[in-house]
Amino acid sequence: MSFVETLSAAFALFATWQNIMVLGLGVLIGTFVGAVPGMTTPMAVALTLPFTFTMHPVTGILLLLGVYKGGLYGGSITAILINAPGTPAASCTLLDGYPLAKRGEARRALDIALYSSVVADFISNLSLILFAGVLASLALAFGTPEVFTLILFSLTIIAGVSGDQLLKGLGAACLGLLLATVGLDVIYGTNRFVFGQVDLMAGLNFIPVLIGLFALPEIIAFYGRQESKREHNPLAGKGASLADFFANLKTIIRGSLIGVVLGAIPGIGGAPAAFLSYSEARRNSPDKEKFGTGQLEGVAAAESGNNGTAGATMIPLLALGIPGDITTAIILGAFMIHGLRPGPLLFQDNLSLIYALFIGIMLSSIYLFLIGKASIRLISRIADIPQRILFPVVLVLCVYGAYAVNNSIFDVTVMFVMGVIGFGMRSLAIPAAPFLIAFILGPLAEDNFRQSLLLSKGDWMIFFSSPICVIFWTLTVVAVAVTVWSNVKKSSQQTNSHSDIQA
Amino acid sequence: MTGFFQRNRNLVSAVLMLAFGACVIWVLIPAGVAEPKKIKYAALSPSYYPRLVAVALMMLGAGVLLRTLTEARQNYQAAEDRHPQATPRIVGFFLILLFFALTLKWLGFIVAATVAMFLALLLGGERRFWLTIPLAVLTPLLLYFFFLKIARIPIPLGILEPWLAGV
Repeated sequence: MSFVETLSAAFALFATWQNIMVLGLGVLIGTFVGAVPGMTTPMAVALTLPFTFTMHPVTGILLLLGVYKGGLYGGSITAILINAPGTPAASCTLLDGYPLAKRGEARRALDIALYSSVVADFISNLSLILFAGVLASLALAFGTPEVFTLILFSLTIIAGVSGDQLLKGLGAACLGLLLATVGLDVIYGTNRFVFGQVDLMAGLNFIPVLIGLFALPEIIAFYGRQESKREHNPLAGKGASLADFFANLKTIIRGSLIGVVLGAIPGIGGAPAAFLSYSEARRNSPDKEKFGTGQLEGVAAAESGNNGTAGATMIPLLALGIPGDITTAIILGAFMIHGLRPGPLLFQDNLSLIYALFIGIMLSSIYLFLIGKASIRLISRIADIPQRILFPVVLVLCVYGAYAVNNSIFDVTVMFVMGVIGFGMRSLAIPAAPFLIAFILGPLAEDNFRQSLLLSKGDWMIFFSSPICVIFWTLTVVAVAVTVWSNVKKSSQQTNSHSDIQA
Repeated sequence: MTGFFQRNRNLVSAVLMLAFGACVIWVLIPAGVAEPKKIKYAALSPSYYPRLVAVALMMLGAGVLLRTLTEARQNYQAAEDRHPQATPRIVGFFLILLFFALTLKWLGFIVAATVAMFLALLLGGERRFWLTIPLAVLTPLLLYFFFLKIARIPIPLGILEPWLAGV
């Protein structure tokens, strides 16, 4: 069959009202579910899976893909509005998104999050269609030592988000790394810090920890201050302008490409991509110091990194038959239920089906834009609700959300405890962002570190054994050197200005 | 008390970082990490990584302490928007959280959330009962039906089990 024949067969396969409707419905469900703290994207995809059993394979898989893509964007909504990320991948978005919402610029932040998500999703889809083979072979070059050095490089952002509290920020990161070690040991399967508590054996779940660390301290702090009237802000209530979009376009494209590369590597996921994109945006920005205080570029970087993985995670699935994360594992299940086995043979035997999926995937970016844009006007009003009313509602939502992750009251308790710890950290001016980054990236770092040593029989040279490792080591050393240098420069400037005042 | 912590927050942070790091190394790892009998390489031990991180935490704590002791003491100023009743309000909210955590299982999510939400609204200064009562009753109820009917996640009903089970 020629290319044109395959393409026309794919169009014929795709162009049914069921496919077009189901894809939009999927994006809508995903956006809505992603916006509920505790409802993760994999959960939404898993809940939708049974409905696809009786559908045509293309229709069923498009429904799941729609939910997946909507969920990736939806997670950013609550991160921006109430400081509670709907999904772990959206946790980076709250660093700048919530401060923007506090300033009355929720709609602007939501707009930029949407534009970044749509552009990143589009670039990711395009990469899936055009470079699936190349990216799949690049992804295969990433073994455990390469992933470890990549994560190590991503962790250098901790210095960036610590602000003027570098030592305390690094301390918070250590706490995050320690908390992430709770549960069964990945190599030996023995208990670590479980203390006979069965609920701790699987480790602490991201969602209750994240909600507890970010949303609850904000609520507790509200009770310690007077409810202030929002200062006049000319940008309050306004959406993002074209100028805002173009000012951040470079960051969005960079974040999308980071998302594409990391998304193609099985087991990485959206959160590390978001943090790496954020880190690179901060490093390249002339307003480095403003990151974390409500910088539009921070939201753009986080969301483009996160959504850049959307299409790319399908690369190892479609090209190699390897699911890169939980969501694509569920989608793999959907393929298999319909008697299809992703991998090179699928490209050989069912190319028109693959192309039909590609057409649907491209259309999903348009749906994401339309549904996101329609919902923002309404959703952004949440930020205008008086805090004395909004925060008790958020508290209840957080409790239900924390429970829903694992149907566990223990998770609700974890959220409360983390809320108290988060408030304590806030009172002591210990930044919470490094804790969050370390908690999310820590398990990936440890698993790959120890598995590499297991492979090399204890030889540490494995971490320098490939050009990819050397590149990431070099980048890490440069990033650390630049951070240390800028800190030394800053403190010497402070000392000079202090002695000038005394003189 | 709050003022003491605010004035000495770097010192308190340093002491907590040192104490927690020490606690991990000398108490939590020996008591909470089960070591296999044979370990091929030291770096593969389940306690290796937590110990490494705890040592780093202690070193950072020592760094913060050193910096605090050598730097000029900065004057503490209370935040301008601090509520005059800040401490009782925060303590009150902690009590609401405690109530929520302790009663969640036997009262069930709907009743516990209704009471907690109503109290949180009152504590926050909202006195319009025509708003607070319906809000406190309807929010947990609607969330319950959302999770049950749409997300298919059964939320524990507690004392409402005889009335709402099967609805």
